[in-house]
Amino acid sequence: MNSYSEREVLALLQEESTQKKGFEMIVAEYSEQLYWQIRRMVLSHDDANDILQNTFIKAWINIDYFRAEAKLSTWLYRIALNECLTFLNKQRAMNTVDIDDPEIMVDQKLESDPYFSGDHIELLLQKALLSLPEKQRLVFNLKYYQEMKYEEMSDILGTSVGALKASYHHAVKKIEKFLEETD
Amino acid sequence: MKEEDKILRKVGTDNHFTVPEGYFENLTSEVMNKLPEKEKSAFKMKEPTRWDKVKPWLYMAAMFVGAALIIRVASSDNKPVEDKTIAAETETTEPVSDQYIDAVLDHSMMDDYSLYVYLTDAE
Repeated sequence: MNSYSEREVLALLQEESTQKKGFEMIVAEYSEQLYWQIRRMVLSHDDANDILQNTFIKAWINIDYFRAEAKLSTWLYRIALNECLTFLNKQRAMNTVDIDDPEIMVDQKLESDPYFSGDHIELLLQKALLSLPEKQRLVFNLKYYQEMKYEEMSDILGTSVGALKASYHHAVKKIEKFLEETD
Repeated sequence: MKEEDKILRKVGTDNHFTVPEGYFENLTSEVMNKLPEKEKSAFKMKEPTRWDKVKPWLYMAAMFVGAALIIRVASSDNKPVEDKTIAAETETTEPVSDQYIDAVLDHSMMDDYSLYVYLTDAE
């Protein structure tokens, strides 16, 4: 497989005849990492898959408005995470599942999920994560699992580096406390 | 020591979520197949027409012509006023004959010295 070059992809995007080829390279490069970030937010594979598809459809529709001032990955993460938050808000509004109750969410979405193989401590971590505010959960996932730099996170989430550091610190403290109390 | 060390030791970063078999292998083609058709690319800059290129120059030229016209009209408005004033002033100065002046001077009974003083404003 060819190595990915953002410059090459941007050049392909500028020509109508090669735009789709360029976009295909973007999908191949970023779909997996975006999927995992989305999956950690919504837990279910089917929901994550739908959100990922929507993310790329939105990116494709708006690719003409993408300006190379930001990195493509930053732009895609921004779309994907916004899609996640929109999805969670819709779920909350529909009131079918109490998504703010970690116990219910873990019971309904993870323990019966054939695509989740976590043990007891992993389920506890998921419950701890679900007890966090959504934005704090996002910050924790990006930093803990992906070791994303705060500067990049700041570009994606539109939050200052200082606020993100504080958010991560609070998330870590809350998770530690949750694990100590429930383990 | 990192602040998340306690969590790392207890839980680690292993990914316990899984996906259906072959999911990522087919993901790119699946995403690409679902993309809607686009009508045209706005990414490509629209080629400017000759009219687009000439338009700003034309507008600037029109502006200068307009400004010149305004100045011309404004200055031509002043000129007749001046002319009329001068004309009015000249109209009041009627030609007077020497005989008439002599007669007036005789009637005024002015001597040469008084006349001199009058004409020269001498003290």
